[in-house]
Amino acid sequence: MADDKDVLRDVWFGRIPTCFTLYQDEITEREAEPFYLLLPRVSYLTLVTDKVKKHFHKVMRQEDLEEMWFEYEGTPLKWHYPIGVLFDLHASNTALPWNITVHFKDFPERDLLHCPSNSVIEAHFMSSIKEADALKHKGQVVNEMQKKDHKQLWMGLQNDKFDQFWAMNRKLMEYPTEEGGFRYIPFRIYQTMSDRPFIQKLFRPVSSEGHAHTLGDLLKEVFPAAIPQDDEQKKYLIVIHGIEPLLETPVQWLSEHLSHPDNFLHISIIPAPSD
Amino acid sequence: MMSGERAEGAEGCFLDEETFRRCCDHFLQRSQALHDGWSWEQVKGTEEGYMKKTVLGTGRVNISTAQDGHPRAGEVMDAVGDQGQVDDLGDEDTPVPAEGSSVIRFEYHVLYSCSYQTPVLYFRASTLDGRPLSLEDVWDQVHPNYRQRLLQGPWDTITQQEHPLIGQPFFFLHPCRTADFMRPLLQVAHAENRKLNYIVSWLSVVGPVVGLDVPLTYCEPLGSPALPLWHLTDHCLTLPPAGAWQTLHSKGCLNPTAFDHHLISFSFTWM
Amino acid sequence: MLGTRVMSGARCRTECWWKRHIAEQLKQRDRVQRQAFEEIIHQYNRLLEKSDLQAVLSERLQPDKSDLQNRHDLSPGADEELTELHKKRGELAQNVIELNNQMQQKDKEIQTNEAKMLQYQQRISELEAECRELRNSLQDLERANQTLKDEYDALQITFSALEEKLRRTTEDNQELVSRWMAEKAQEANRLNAENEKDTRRRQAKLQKDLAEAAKEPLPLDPDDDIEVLSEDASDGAGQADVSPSRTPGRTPSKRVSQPPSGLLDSISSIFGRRSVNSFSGLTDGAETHTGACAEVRVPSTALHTFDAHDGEVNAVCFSPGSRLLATGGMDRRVKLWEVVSGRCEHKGSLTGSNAGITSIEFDSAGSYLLAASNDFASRIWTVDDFRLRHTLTGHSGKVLSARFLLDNARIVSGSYDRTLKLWDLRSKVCMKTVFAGSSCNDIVCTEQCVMSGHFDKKVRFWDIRSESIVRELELLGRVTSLDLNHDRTELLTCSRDDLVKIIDLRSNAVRQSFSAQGFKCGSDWTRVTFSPDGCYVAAGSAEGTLFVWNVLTGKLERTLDKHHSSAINAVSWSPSGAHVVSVEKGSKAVLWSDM
Repeated sequence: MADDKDVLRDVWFGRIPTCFTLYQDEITEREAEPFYLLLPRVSYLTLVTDKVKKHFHKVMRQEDLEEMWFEYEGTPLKWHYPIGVLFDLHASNTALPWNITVHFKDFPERDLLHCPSNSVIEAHFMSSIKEADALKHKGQVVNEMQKKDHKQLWMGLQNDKFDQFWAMNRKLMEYPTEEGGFRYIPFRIYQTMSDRPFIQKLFRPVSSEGHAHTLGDLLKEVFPAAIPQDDEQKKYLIVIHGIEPLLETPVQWLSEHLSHPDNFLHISIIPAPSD
Repeated sequence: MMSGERAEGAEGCFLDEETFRRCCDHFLQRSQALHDGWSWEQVKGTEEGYMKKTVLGTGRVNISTAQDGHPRAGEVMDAVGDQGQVDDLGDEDTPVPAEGSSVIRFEYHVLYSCSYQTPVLYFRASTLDGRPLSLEDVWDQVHPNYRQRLLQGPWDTITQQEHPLIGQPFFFLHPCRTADFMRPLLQVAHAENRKLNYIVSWLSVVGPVVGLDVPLTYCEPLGSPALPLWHLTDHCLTLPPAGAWQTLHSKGCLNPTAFDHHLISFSFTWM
Repeated sequence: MLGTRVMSGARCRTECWWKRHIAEQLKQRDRVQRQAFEEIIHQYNRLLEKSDLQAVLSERLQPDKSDLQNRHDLSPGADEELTELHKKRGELAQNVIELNNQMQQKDKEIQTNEAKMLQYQQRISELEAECRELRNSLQDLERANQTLKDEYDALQITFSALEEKLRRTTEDNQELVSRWMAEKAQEANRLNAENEKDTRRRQAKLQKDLAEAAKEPLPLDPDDDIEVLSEDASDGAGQADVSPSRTPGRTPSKRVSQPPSGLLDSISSIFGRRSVNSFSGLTDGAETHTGACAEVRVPSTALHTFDAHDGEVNAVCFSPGSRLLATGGMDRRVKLWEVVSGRCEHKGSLTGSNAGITSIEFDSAGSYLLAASNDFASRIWTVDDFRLRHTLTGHSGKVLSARFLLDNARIVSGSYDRTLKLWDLRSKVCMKTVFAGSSCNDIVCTEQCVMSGHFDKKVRFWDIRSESIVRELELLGRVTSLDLNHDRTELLTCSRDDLVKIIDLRSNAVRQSFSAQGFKCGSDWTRVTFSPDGCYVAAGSAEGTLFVWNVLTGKLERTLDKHHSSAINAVSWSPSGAHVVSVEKGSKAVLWSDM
């Protein structure tokens, strides 16, 4: 169990070194230096980039300031995805630090959700937690929790308080012993080369005979192309939190330990490096 | 085919995907018959899909090039029916004057949420040239009767979300209370051994909130209209026979707040 | 409701395998993505801050500089401002450093305080442990104390029970003692009764003998008879007349026929008895005179040597009837002996004295016995029943001599306390105390006069009526003994200068001195005696030799030795003249006679 706790901590405290550069077409009064930051993998862009905003506001005119948004190599970064997912999906094969471009104009309405304040992030976060719990426990656990418990979850994430968060979150990770696991595993599989943003399906962690389903079983069911056949080379990397778990890993365990704070297991399928 | 099965889902008031498909098929048939404009969109390469309908309406929309998403005290009239007022904005960068009535395109998608095992309504509005409306603008489409309640807890009810199949920003009504208000309908139907189309019933409840009209005629093929159905005209509801309301009311999810001969407003508890 | 996973061994290993893989991968990821960049980003941001600050400062100065191009006089101002800002910056930096230092100090203080607190906590726990120990030991002590208290209470109870027992036993003892005393008294009464019977029997026998003897014709000396009768007749006149009438009695006619001695003895013994017959009033005087006419025989042999007392024998005295002998010793007893056919038969003991007996005297009737004792008291017993009648206390020293006055109603006693006391027997109180000035060793009494011999070699003559010294006579040695002849005309003295003197009372001059080779006065209380007729003087010496001098010739008549083993304390001549008894320091008494 001590290992599991370490895993939880490592997951929570994961960081990505990022370099924020202002978009060259943005009008500045003087040259804007890039801003480096270690972004938490489990948080959201708009939640942790106040300093970036301040830094770049310094060199810009007041009247030019609109909602900040980010893009990486032309792709607008969806703030409502966890930062770690964005990185793994878009930039895990590139050299560090992650170079993100900061924009203040021309907000891509079609691509990105607006984030006028932190309450939007909070609503989104809580919505994810409720959806995950609906899958795991038919929503019973999250509905039993009080408003202050919900607040505690959000505050834990916002203020980077592992213990505060997990004090509440552990309730969402419980399940009846006889079941052997959650009702369904909350997961989303992301791909860069796809029309649909993610794949989300109903998947049971325990088979009807009582065997624990593994990551491999999940992928076989939901994304069979990810699993290489015996003689094929690996085409895809299955990345969660920047690492590749073994396909034998039980999904129940993954859901309990490698979920994001929003209680979803975000899996990035990226093309394997060809070299 | 009569898809008037009872909404058998996993547990009573839940909808499984297959039933969803069936209900949608039935609904689409009706829609085609009524020329209501619903179509089915399939996701490439999968079994999944959604129902889609595009509606054009009028309304005043406050659009300025630089301030799409920011909350502005924009006065937007109801897209349907009312005359728009001329709004005066303050100084803007772009000399685009506050227009008069403009055409607004509403897009409604009915998706299935496997998480909540209910259908979910996504929608978006944009101008004809593709500029999307903000959330505030969208609110103003909401009937004033609902608006009060929604404004009390805006973030919990209509929020901007990423469309799970398209990946673009939509607004949607949170589905977590769907089961609660569908249950009594289903139970009554079950008790009266009537056949019910989940989608029709559900959409007729949530649609009007966001300006989506569901004509009564969708139910006709189902037979005897023993169940009092919502009669929606111009977003106003006529008073059905009293007994039925009481039945609904006693189930506890609908609270009639005012009785008017022609107009009833309801307060919903969504989440 | 956390699920518990029960694993088999194999599954466990597999599980560990993928779990470890994940853990390793996470660590690896952190190394690459986080640790490699953390420090750099941090430092970069610091530099950024600094440069921003610089930028701000320079920005502020920029407009000034542009102004400068227009107005030169402002340049010093700008420079000044710049230097000021620099100074401020330096001060602020200094402040920062100082505050940092203070903070570090505070941290240190906190640490030391925490260490102290730890110490105190330890101390507290130690003290608490001590306290607990002390409380425990206190409890133990209390318990022990309680135990002791209980024991004490138990002992108290036992003690009071024993005390009660003792009290009861003492009561019982006292009761027993009183019963025993009663028994003794009864026994004494019985003895007395027996004695009575005995004497009556003898009286009867005597009467019979008398009656028988009266039948026989006896060759009586008419002188004797007449003298006897005349004495009888003239008795009522008082004793003052006795001496002249007695003088003739001193003629050798005293040497009267011996054979009827037995009869005379009998007669005298009859007269020696007390109040039973009506002769008593006459017999008192008759007895004395009879004694004067008795046949005095100088002893030559010891008839009976016997142990008279346990310890020293101090005093000896014949009863007026010569029948009884009283001895007194350091064993506090006065023993009565009967002289019967040459032996002294123990008759009884008079008890009651608490210390040794110093002198003994019978009253003239022979019915009372007066003894002086070293317990500062004089006592009187009745002779017949041996009962103590009076105890005369009052002296503050040993009573060395006590004598009846001639009326038998008063007693005079002389004591070591240098006083003489006069006692009245009827009221039993001391009537007079005279201070003699020296310890009184012996006393004799006449009708008017009391003579006392003292330690200071003086003999004092006291007038009874005036109770004052009439005369004093000094001798050459401490006066140990006084005796009067039977007509009270001569005083015999013995003193420590080993001289026995006779003093003529009419002329108050020493008439004769007796001494002898080998005669040493043994003690301060050596008693000497006249013979009943006054013709002889007997004295015992320190070597145990009895000396008898002839008064008329003044020469030593006889020396009797080899019967006493120690110094002779006292000598007594029986009024009948037949016997002499001497008593010694060594508890022996010797009965002498000339047979």
